[in-house]
Amino acid sequence: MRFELKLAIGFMLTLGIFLALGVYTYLSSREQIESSQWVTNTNEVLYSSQRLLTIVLEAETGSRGFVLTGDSNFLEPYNHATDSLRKRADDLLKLTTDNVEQHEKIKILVAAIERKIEHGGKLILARENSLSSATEMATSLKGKKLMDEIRLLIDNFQATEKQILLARTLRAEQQIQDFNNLLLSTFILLIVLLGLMYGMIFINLKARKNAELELKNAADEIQDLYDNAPCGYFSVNSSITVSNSNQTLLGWLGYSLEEIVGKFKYEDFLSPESKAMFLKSFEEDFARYKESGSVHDLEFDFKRKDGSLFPVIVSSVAVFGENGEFIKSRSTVMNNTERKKVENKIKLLNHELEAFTYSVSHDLRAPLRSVVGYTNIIKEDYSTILDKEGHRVINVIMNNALRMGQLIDDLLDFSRMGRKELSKSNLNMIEIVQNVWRELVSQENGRKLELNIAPLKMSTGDVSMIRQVWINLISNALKYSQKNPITKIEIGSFEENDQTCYYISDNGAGFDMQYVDKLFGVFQRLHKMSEFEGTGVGLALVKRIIQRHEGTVRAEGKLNEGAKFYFTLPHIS
Amino acid sequence: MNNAVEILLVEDNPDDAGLTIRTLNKNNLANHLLHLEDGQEALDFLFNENNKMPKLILLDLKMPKVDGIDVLRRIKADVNKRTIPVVVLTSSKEERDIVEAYKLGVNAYIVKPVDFDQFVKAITQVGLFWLVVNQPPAEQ
Repeated sequence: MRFELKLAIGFMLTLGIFLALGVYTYLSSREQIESSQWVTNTNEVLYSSQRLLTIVLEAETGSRGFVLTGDSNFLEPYNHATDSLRKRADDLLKLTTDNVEQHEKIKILVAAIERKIEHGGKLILARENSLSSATEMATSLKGKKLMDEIRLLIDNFQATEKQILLARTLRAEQQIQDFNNLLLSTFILLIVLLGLMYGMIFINLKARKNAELELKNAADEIQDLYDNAPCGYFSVNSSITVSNSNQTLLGWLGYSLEEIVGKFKYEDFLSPESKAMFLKSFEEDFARYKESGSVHDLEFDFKRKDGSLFPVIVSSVAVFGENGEFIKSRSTVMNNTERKKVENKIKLLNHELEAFTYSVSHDLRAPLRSVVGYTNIIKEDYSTILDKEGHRVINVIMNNALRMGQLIDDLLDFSRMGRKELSKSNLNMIEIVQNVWRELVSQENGRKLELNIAPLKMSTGDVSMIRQVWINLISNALKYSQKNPITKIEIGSFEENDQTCYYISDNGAGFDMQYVDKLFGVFQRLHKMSEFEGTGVGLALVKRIIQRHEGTVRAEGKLNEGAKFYFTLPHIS
Repeated sequence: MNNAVEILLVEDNPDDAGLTIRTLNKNNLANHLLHLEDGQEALDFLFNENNKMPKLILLDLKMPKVDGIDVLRRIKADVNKRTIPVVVLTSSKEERDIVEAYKLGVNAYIVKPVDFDQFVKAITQVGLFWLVVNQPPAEQ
């Protein structure tokens, strides 16, 4: 359960208990008042009943006094008692309305008292006539009987009333006791509840503090990563004013954060040249950016505070609000200085290499041509004075010069292939292979050739380079199988790891698989010149071309059983 | 007319020039051949109003002072000389040279083979084609 819900429930519970306690206290105190009223009532009943007896006794005493003395002064209590009795009896009747039994008892008592008063009246009347008749009446014991009856009734009444008093007092005490007990247990409950709530709040606050601390640590870490990233970061708001930047970028620029936040616009980072380029098509570019949400690898020159420039590559991601409105843009800045340096160095090296190969292709071939040409002149013009050995030596010179010419040509091809720009297009591979085959076979006279070309998948690449690959592979297959009575060559293709793999197999001389690693190296040959001619550049060239196409080459072979060469090219994009 | 130059050979390597001249000679094509050894000499000759223009220029590319490409550019930029057939005879088959030469309007581009038989064949064909088979425009 969530903390807030728990807290609310605890709070409501406490409030509920307080309310219940209030209601209970109110009800309980009313009950207690009522109970004490009942006790008072009972006491009053007891008192009144006692008073009743007293009045009766006083009346008795008065009438007796009058009978004995004949002094009418003694009659005063008697006369007074009659009135008082009536009043007391009424009070008692009222006080005992709640108790039918006692009420009835009072009625009987009152009747008894009235009989007694009546008797008293008769006695007084008799005295007024004569003392003797009164004395006779008084000694008749009738009065005493009546009095005893009254005493008995009152005793009985009071005994019952005393029992009621005891019960009511006990009940009132019990109520107070119950109230106190409940109050105590409620207090304990409240203290426990408040204690629990305090504990809960305390734990929660502690957890929150910990979470805050963790959050702060995480935020610090992220800020640290942000500030000390190897690339620059900056953000701009919806009006492309700079809203943040990391220390790396500030370090490169030489500004402080305060100098650029809220003051710099995106274009203020740029060199005059980059700025002009940036602002030229800004409206359309910005609209397109907001549409696509990102832009990658923009090359600019940034301007430092001291005015110097450095090349950068900027990529940006747009941040949108809940309603899809453009809020801000976050950019990553790569310092391109080192790469530019390396690029320039590579350019320079390439330039030097080009100058070198250019020179090689001119200056190395010209002397060779002279060697071959002038040796030929000797052969033509002085053949009569040369003996057999002389002719053989001349042929050796010419063959070697020609071979060197071939080596230079192949090396130049190899070097050129590494530098030439790829112009990629879709390749109709079957057409390329058939054309190359026709050209090469036209130079093979009288050989028995069996070619089997499976349907070849299309691919992409530089058509002249891939053509060169097939020329080298097919001419190799033809060359190394030339000693077979029937040459069998098979060409095909298949899908392999998201690339298309092409292969060519022959039934020629093959090779020993332990030398397979040497196969694609420059000037590496696995056969003697006397067996098969060659410069050892063909397969190296194949490898170089395929690698430049992001493909791979490999070969399988077995000595005297043929070889199979594979190369892969990416799918048509 | 006898002194008129038919073939202008611009070639800095005398040995190479020797082979070319020998081949043309064997085909009786070198009777009115002038051999100049660099681009500057060629330009001096061609842009001298007193000289009659040759029927064919055989031009090497890599030469001291002024190279073949510049000579070609000057010839093809000149209204009166752009009709002279220019055949580049060079050791190099650098793609950029070939492209550049054709852009400037070269009439043929021959890579001199190292193999002597092929060399003889190429030179003979060039000489015969441009001097015998080809019909140039009437002299202005």
